[in-house]
Amino acid sequence: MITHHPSDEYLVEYAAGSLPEAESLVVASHLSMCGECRARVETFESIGAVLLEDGETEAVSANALDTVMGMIAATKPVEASRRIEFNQSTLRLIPPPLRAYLDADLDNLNWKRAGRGIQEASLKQDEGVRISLLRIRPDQKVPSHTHTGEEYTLILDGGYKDGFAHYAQGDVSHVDGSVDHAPVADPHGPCLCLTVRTGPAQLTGKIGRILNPFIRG
Amino acid sequence: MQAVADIQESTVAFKSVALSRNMAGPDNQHVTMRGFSANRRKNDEMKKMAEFIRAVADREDRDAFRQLFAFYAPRLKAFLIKNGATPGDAEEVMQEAMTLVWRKAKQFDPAKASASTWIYTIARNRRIDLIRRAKRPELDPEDPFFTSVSEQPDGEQEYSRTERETLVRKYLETLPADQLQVVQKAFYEEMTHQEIAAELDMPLGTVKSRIRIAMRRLRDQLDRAEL
Ligand SMILES: [Zn+2]
Repeated sequence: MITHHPSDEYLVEYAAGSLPEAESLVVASHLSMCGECRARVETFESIGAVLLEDGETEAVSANALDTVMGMIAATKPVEASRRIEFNQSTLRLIPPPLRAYLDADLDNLNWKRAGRGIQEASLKQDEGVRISLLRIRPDQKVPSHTHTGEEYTLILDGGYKDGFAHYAQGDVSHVDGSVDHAPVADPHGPCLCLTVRTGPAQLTGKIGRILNPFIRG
Repeated sequence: MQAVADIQESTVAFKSVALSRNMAGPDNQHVTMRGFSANRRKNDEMKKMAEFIRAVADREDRDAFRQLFAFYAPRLKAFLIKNGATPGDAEEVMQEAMTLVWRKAKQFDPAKASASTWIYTIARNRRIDLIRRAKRPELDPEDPFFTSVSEQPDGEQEYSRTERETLVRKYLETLPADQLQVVQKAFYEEMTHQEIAAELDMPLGTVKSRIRIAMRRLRDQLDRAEL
């Protein structure tokens, strides 16, 4: 049962096409797990549709329709599909929008130790935005930290507790810089999550930086 | 070609209800009345658009495609220019989007989206690819992942997608001007909330709360319409 959804502001930006790639990845992956938010996005997209229908018109070039008919008649460009055949456990846990960011099955990703009981596989780093998968061992506490930017997390498997809130499969957490948090993974199995971080983290506890996955990069 | 002329004429007649209201200010009594009959015509017109897409999908019907093109191409181009595209880029993205409308016509499912919503999303994604040169993670509604993981069913809806659009249009007509302004900038100009705040010289929190309030009211109204 999903209880933590992205807020309407993000769904609106996603529907309007202005949400940046990394955040869009979190939203799209959540959407493939959450019918409720899918329905919301469809509603918001229909705002775009209404504004399109009722909006102004701009004369198209004189031969536009012919050009388009020509493009339709032309042979379809072969889609560069470097599709990887993922194994069952990868397909079961990784939502479709996220698969394009994986170059191997889950177990064969370039996992790096990122602190006690925590592994990180970096999927993309670009202009200070980091997209990673994290695997946290059962009962493991992530060292207390704050962020200079934002942190978005989508739980793909297992769950964790953060303060009084519990996050399970499909839940999204959005933590902005000011919040000091120290999530603890559930006891019954490892926690797998997608995280997007937009700024370096700062340790607030006394634990060494090497233990903190959020400080790396 | 008569049908095309009809369509063009009928849209000019009640053009831009939501948009003109913004200019008109708070006195919207007559606008709402006008909007009401316009909504009905719009509804019929949109059903026709959905049939044209089906005709392209079923039998590669060129006349049907010409009708779609006559209605959507000039709107898409204006929409893209409003987003900040040059007229040349807007023309290119519009042409690519219309090509995709033909190619993807078989994937169009009136139960999932109205004709305009479907075409809007195609053009939006094309714009991101070509103009922003950014990647946009997309969900694939055909993927079995949906049914295996999703615990919550899609919201049950008594009304069709075209009717939902009518409800959304009615809702936009009743939106207070300050909320309508940010919603328009978010969708029509595809600005991020940050960009809207900068342009309107307004705190980011104000933009976000206006969007939040507007969207909550919209969802409440749609829920009520369902009962
Ligand atoms: Zn959700």
